[in-house]
Amino acid sequence: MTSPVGTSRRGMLAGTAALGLAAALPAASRAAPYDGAAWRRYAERFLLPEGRIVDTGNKGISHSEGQGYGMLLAVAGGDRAAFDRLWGWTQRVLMVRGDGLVAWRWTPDGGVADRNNASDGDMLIAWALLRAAETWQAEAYRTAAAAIVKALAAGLLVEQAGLTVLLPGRDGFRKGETLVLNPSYWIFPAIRAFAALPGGERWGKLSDSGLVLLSKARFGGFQLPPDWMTLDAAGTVGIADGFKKQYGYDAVRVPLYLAMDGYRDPYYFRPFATLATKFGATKYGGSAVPATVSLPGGTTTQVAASVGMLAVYRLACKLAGAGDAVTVPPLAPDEDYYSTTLAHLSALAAQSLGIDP
Amino acid sequence: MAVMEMAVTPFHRTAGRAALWAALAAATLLTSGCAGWVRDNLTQSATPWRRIQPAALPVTLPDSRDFPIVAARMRDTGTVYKTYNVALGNPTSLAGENRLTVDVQTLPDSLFGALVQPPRVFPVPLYTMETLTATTRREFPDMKVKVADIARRNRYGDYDYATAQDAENSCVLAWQLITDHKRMLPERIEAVRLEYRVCGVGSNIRALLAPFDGLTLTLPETILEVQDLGGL
Amino acid sequence: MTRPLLLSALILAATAIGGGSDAWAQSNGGARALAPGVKVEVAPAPGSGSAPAAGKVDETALRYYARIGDGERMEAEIARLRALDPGWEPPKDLFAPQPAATGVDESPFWSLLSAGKVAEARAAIAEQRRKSPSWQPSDKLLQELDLAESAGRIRSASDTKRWQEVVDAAAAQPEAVACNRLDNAWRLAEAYAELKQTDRAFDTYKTIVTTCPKAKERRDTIFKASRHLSPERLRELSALGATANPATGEDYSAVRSAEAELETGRLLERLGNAKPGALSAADLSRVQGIVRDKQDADGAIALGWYFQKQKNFAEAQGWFTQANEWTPSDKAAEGLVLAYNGLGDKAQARAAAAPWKGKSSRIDQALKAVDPPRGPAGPGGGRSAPQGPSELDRALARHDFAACISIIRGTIAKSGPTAALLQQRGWCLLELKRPSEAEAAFAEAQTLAAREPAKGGASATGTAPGKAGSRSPAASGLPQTATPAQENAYGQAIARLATGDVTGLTRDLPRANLTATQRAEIRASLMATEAGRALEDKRYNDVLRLLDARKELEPEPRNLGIVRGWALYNLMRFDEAYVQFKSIDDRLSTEESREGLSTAWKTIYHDW
Repeated sequence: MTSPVGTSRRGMLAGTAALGLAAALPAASRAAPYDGAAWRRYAERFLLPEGRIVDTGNKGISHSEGQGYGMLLAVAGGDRAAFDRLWGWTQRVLMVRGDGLVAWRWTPDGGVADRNNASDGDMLIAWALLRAAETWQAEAYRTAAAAIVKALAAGLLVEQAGLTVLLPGRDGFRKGETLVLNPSYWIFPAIRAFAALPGGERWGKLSDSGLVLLSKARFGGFQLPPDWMTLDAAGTVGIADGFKKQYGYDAVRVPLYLAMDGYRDPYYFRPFATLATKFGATKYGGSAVPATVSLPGGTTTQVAASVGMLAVYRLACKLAGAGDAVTVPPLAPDEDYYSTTLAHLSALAAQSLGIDP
Repeated sequence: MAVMEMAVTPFHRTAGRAALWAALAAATLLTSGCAGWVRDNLTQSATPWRRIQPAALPVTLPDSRDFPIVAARMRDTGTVYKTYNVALGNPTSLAGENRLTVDVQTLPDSLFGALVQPPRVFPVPLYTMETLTATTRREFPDMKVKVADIARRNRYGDYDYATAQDAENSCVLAWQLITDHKRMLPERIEAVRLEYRVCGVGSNIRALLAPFDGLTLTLPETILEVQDLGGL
Repeated sequence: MTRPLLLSALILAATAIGGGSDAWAQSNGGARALAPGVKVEVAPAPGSGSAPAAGKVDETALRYYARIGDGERMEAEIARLRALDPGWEPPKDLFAPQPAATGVDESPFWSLLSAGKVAEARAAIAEQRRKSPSWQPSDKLLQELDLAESAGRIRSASDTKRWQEVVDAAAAQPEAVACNRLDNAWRLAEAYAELKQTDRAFDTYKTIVTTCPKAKERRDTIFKASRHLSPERLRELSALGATANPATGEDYSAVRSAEAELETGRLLERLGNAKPGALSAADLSRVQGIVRDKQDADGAIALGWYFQKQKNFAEAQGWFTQANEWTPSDKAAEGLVLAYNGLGDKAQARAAAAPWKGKSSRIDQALKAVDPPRGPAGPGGGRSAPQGPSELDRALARHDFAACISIIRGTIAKSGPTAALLQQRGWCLLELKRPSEAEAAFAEAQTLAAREPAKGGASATGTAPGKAGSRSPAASGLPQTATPAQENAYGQAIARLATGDVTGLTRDLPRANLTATQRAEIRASLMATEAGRALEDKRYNDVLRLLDARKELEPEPRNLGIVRGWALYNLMRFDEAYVQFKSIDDRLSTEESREGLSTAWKTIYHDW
């Protein structure tokens, strides 16, 4: 199975941040808000002139997820020129499959390195296009978004055990009658935007089943969702084989996307808050939240959660009613792409919910 | 003669509940848009044992005075598993049959076969310390059991075994899983499991293991032997 | 308060058992089963000093309990609401659908919950909270959801043997472990036992049997605990369960007898496997006492064999006689024949065999020890009756089948094989669970018999003389004595049954040379085997068809009765399954029968 942005990249990323590293940095009680200036700093570090976002934690490759995040942050930062460059490169270089979906992985040496799509990348790009259409009143973006959404619905939305679910990629995520799914591919605010398009009813069902699956997919002492899960024909969920059996770099985005879509039910944020408060409160200066937790065993890694992940935990704690349990240090000058992106998205979510970031 | 006790196929106490769950699961499946998948239990469970001629076995044993082939049987489980049971002579007066069991797991030859594979007929790992203890206690009651620390090797690679002894007799239980389908197994065979249980008079363990050491698998497609591979 | 039957103290700190027990015990007062719709008389919960809630009380939870038929919690909820508002009366229309209350109507969430769709309820609530940020679900609803999820978590963790997670889940939600959720409590105790925390396991069982009011629950708990606790602690548990915190109207004598039942089972099992003298005098006298008290024929037979193996034939004869008086059976008679034979009283032995002679292969076999069959031409038989029982006969009388094999091997080595010797070897091999060799021995015996000079002229082909072909001798009540050839064919059939060669045997049975009785016995066994297979294949109607057909030939033994119960259960004929399990359990309660009974009961009453 080809795995879209998954364990390999996140694994490499993990190696760079040693436990307690962030503790050496001056503590700050709140993450920076996201604004035009934040976008410009982001673009300086990660956006290359030709229009691709570099995954600095991952040997400088680019991928559909990065393009999508970049486009979203560009809209929020009000930078249409940068947005157009990102979208242009994406169309030119990654949309080579012929089915309207985006090849997920590109390397500086070899170009498109895996033609399979990663559904979250497609969704982020389409959602950014819809937001751009609204922000800049440009119908062409909407038309392009609608085409991607249609292709996603045709190839990736499937029914299983009475639930509408999203396959993580076009190929390789069916094992017999069991599906392999990624909980963090439920980008709730994007899904809601797709549901509002003409003929978008199935996307509404995808939201509903996402909440159902997140209630079912709770494992181990912290009751966390796995990065990769299975859903069998009877509706039973499990932890997927063939991936690291853990909660980690993928699933940390689950509370982020829920918050971005306006969900506030503490029940859905509590597992993440529990993890953060258990590890975040004490002797390591509030920064020793582990980056990953094995499931269902609960073994934690020695690698600490990045700044961006801590920003997500801070948000989750607020929504779970656990208060200001997590301290988020400022972004380091060499903070990598993924951590920085999570930090900015968390700030955006907090702003939209009217919470202090 | 205690006909009744022997004749009833043992089944799990929870069989009923498990079966109900399976039925519910199947019902969900049929209503969940996964059309085209036909529930077909009969093809999934084991057929009854049937007698076969020793010549029809996929295994050849070296001639042995103490452990001649008494009977050979086989059965199928689904389309992917064939199990052969070779009852061997038992020169002792201990309870229990001497036997060699061979499970052959083939790859399904259709998409349908791949979708509806029966559960594996042998566990992997073949034994845990717990299941081994339970098995040896059942097979060799009242005997002193020892699990060999060092594996032995036959034509198909390393295998593990346990021994049991009392004042007059010795027994062995050996087991082996052949899964090297890159080098040893033909394309269509996923795995071969061997299990060998033999009791004999005296204390010569190596004599008991000799048939297992010397056996040759004779499946329709050739299985390469360890020495063919220039040593593993 | 709902029933505060918490194990919290136990889960969080094993030392704080006393507190936990108190909490359990308090809730027992005045608890009565409540049929839905029956008018309720319950005193307000004491000590609730809070001011009556203004306006209408929230009856949502009450209606939920009514809908799922949970009388206990419904009663507790009524008490709670009364405490909040002493003037409040339980509504008469508990089952009527409710119009939406002010604000958000919670009933859709309760409906999902009562349908067991906990995740769906969570999803719907989250969606509602997104739409109406100021709304909060009631505490009651959240608590029920938490409980349902915890129960699910405990169940799945324990089903997959993740014992520590069972303990963690129970610790995270102590309310999930309570008398009205006994299954969770059992699973917690099991988890402790599997984690080798035997003291905590014991404490958990102890809390259950001293606080849960129902005698049946306490009794079931003793059985559950028997898998994990030592006999001594089990005795302690039974004593506590039979006396502590009695509720009015409950008869706890069954709790004490549960322990005795287990004890007997354990001792009898040891008796069966015991080498002579392996049981202490105290154990032996206890099991004798229990068997006598219960007039347990199977127990008496086990005792008989125990003594027979020690060559204490007089004692053995006493127990076999006793067994045969309580419940006459060929099994009891078989022992009796061999015991008398051991005592040298062949006349009595023959007399004991008489009622079963020719009807039971057991008895016919035993009789061979009394009157050893002479080989047709004498060779190999070498021994003659006046010299008393031969070495082989004595081995058979002791049920020492390994010796039987050795002696026959020796005899054959000395003086060559005879059909009779080979046949006897077949029977002994069958007893040693070596059916493949047994089948071969019977086949060999048959070949040899064909070559040996025929006695009476008919033995080789074995045609039963003088019987009208169409009339079944069994049906006419005239036992037909099997010829040696028929004995051999019968032995082969039994051996093939034991090797699982059902197909071949079914094919060959019509042509096999068997007496009608033998044939019926084999057919019944084949059908039993087929029924077991049909059950595994989930062909439940076939199971019943086969068992019904089999019943025409022979009474149904209890293991097949259990099979019948599961078939009914899986055909959703739950009431019939319950009756079936109940009828078996009432006669002799075993783990199998209890499992069936409790599963059927829980399904019928949704009491999971």
